[in-house]
Amino acid sequence: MKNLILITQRELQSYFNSMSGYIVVAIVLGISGLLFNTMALGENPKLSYDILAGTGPRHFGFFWVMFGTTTIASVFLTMRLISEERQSGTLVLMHSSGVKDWQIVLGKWGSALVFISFLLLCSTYIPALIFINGKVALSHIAVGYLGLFLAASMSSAIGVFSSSFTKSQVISALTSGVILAFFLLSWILARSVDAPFKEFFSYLSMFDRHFGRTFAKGQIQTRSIFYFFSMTTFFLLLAVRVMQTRRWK
Amino acid sequence: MIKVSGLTRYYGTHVALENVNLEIDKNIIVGFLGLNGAGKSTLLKMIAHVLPPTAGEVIIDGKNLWEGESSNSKIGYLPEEPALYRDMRVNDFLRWCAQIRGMSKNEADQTLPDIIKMCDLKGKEDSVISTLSHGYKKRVGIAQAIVHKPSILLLDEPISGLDPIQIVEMRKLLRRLKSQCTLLISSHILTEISQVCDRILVIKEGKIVADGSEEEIGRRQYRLEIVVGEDSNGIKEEIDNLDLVDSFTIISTSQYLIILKEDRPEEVIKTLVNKGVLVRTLSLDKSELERTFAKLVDTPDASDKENS
Repeated sequence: MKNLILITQRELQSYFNSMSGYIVVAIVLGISGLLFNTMALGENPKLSYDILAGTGPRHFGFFWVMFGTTTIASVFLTMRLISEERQSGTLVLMHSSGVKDWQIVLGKWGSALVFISFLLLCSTYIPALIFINGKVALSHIAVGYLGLFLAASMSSAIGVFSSSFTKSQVISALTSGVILAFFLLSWILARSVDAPFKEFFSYLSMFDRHFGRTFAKGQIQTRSIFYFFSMTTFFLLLAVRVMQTRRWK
Repeated sequence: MIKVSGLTRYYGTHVALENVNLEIDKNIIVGFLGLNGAGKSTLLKMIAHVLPPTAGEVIIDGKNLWEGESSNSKIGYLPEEPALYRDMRVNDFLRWCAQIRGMSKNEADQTLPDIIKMCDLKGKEDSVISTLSHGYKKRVGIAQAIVHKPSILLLDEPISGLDPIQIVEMRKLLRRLKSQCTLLISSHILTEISQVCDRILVIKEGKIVADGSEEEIGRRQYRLEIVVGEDSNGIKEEIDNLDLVDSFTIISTSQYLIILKEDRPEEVIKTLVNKGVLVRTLSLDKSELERTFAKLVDTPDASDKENS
């Protein structure tokens, strides 16, 4: 546990010491604010609920916007986590200290998740603006943020996995992007295939099935929580496996 | 203290290290000598718990390093290119290294001043590592390896890239560390190994081909150069028949190079005199580590020198 905390602390220190962390936060907040203004609020009058939840492809709600910016931010924040260690040869510091691969993976992922949580916390002023001229349930906002946190958890795990097998941060980011694109767009696949694949691809759909229809609308579904939890665990285990395999090669 | 048995490492189908067996006592400096790619770094990495062996075991104080909970807090490791978090400050980095190897924050804080002093990093404690020169980075690398007071210190090419003054300082530091721990150093620089190491292991193509002190290895073969007064055809067979002769090379009609297995040149002289050969000059070279090393690792240089 001590090793896990030390690794997480070091990575967090690295985020806060470098400009890159602040740049990602600034860009995410800037884009989210801009999209909130142009897409969630828009020009026509709307129900406060719809500003948060969105009404469809022609109107993105706040949580839709935040889902996009949060997952993209996760890719950029995690792309260096293990790749950079491979490139600079610093993994030996931990391996020679007896730190286990799972501790490295979990510590790195934990730091990314804490930093993204900080980012999400910084964004809470945006939905708070709705209260100026409207009224939404605080529980709706809380559930939406829980969904964002779970999505960030899954996308960070994908990012850690992608950075575990390459020295190149670009390849790491591209791999994360491709994997995330698959999970985001699998609802399209679900439409064009028959059962049982239809249900399979539909279940994998990260946004359509497990966020847009649930958390974004203020609803908690245990099935969606289980989905994010299992996907996070799957990619973290995969990352540990890659670390172990590469050591033996 | 350190027992390595049957240690083997494959990279794909390539054998980097094959069935290495050795035992190392406490508080000595052991040098691993070999050409690039001989397997020195691979061996150190396996003892440092960085690289798992394909077969064999590393036992430190009776415990197998690669089974169960490892005794890693006893090991300090400096890779050839120092592993440093360049965005951290020297103090923070060393404290982090101490803590990850089992020290509490208080213990680390108490140890740091001594380590800073020992590695001559005074004044650089608050510097960001990326801003330091190569020599200082190497010192920070050494400092991270000894900050948790290990009983075994593994240094991979510790002097590579250092200037002559830094090399002298490094040598002093290594000798000082000897009283506190066992040092295992890899290098392909002979003079470095011979100056600081108590025991030398020569590695060639993943195998240990010589093991002993500089004296033992360097004098394992004796180079006897003889200049005779006249053409002495026929003495080759006589000399070759002597048990102590390893090789006989004719440099010219009156000059021979004889490599002896033992320090008994009188046997050769006696044979030559008995054959009526007039020996004009004779020289026996005993400080032969460089040549012995070249011969052990069988470099083209070595054969060129002997054939010329």
